[in-house]
Amino acid sequence: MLGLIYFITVNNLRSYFGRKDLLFYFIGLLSLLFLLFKGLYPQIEKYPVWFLAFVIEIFRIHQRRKDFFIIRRLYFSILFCEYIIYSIPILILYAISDQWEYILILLFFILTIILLPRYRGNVVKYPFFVFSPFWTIFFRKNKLFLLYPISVFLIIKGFTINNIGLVYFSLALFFFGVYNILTQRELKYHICISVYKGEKYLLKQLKNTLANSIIVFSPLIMLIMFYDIVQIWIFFPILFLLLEVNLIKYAFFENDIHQVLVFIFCLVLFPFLLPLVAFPYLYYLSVKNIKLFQDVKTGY
Amino acid sequence: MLKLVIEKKYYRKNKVLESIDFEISSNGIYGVIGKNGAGKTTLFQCIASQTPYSGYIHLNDKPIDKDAVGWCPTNPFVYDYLTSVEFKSFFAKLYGLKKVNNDLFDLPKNQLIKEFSTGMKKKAYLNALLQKKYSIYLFDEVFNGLDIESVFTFEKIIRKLGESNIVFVSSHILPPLFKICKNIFLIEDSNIKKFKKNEFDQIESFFDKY
Repeated sequence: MLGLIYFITVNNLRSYFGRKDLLFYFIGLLSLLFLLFKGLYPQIEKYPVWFLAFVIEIFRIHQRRKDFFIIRRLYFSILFCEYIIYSIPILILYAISDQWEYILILLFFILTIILLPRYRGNVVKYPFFVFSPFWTIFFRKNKLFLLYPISVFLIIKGFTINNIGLVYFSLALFFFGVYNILTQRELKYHICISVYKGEKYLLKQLKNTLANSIIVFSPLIMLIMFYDIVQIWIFFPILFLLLEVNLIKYAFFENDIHQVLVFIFCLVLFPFLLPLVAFPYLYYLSVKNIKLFQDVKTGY
Repeated sequence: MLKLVIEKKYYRKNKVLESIDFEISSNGIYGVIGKNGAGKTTLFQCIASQTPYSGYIHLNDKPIDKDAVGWCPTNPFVYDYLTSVEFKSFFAKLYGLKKVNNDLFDLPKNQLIKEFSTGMKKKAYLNALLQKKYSIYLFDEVFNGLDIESVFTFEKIIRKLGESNIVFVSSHILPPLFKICKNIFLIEDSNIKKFKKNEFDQIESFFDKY
């Protein structure tokens, strides 16, 4: 195992250091020691928390790993040793400044990163309806679940300090996360082979959007209901706008710019009920486009 | 039975298929061969109603219904961030199927498709596609990327399907086609030439001229 750790560490550091370049190693070591003891050491007693930011670098390395399947059997030990090796400079600084509690916190963060479910081979399952697969794909790919703690924090803070703007901001954050999901285009082939034709396909998609949006927003709805039940009115325009985004995608399937422009137009003119007025026309355009994809006309 | 007439098929100004006219009167496995870019995939796209063309394709004297055709392209249309189980379930929803059938190929259930090899991606697609029954099956270079065991398994599946359906298989590897096909169609210079089982030896001599 030690050999494996050595090769993995050397392989990862090789992008920074040349092979058998002793002069470079020497200069590198001197620079590191200078940075540690002259640059960082005087600061660690004043700002010990900031040095924990090194965890972000570990997280970055962890995210970029592609050797997970090679080291599957010794996964935990190898990663733990490797990340400790990377953290040695920071650990030394904490040790010599007698800040043992921060060493424990750093180790805790490293353990948390290693034990993140994705890298244990467990793919996170999401409870979304899969007729539109992008909900699962987008949450999984962009880790949108990380928005929850931020939004929950903002909502609680907003109600605590009586600033409703913070609550709306947190909902807007989620809205734009979901907006990106709804603008993802499925392959035309998948639209084409569906047994649901034209309007039925669109209705199925809209139902799917509504159901998945409710799933996504339900923790926030419950939290807001807990503080102020009157404020849940905000979810109705949000859900309506999300359905509208879904329609805009199919109405202007090939053209991203048109999609964005129409959406901005709807958003800006929301107080004048433009999205409501435009809904039937967008619905008509969407059905027309879906039918067009599904009926490949004979011609050449 | 299947009657196929493609008068012309162009991509912009490039002629791909012209004056294709053939009939298939009985179920079975039919091979499609040709050089890269000869038009094998385009022929399959026409049969699967995935591209416009001039002409007609009739199945049992009626215009072909795209729902009656199952097409497995060379590079299957899969989503990388789904598992094979989720992808199969997505296809079941597209097909409006309530019951999900057993998998033809065993695949890791808790792994994303993006981590799959080419062959595994193809297996994931075939598991999803073959949940439904079709009258015509199109397998485009289906043996590419499959391991030896899967090739044998898939040969068995194709033989079984060929008993009660029309199955087209395109490939650049001739021996498996010689083994399983009733007839082989060679696409060359936008046209098609049919070889019966007893004429298969002529195919190799046909390519000898290159």
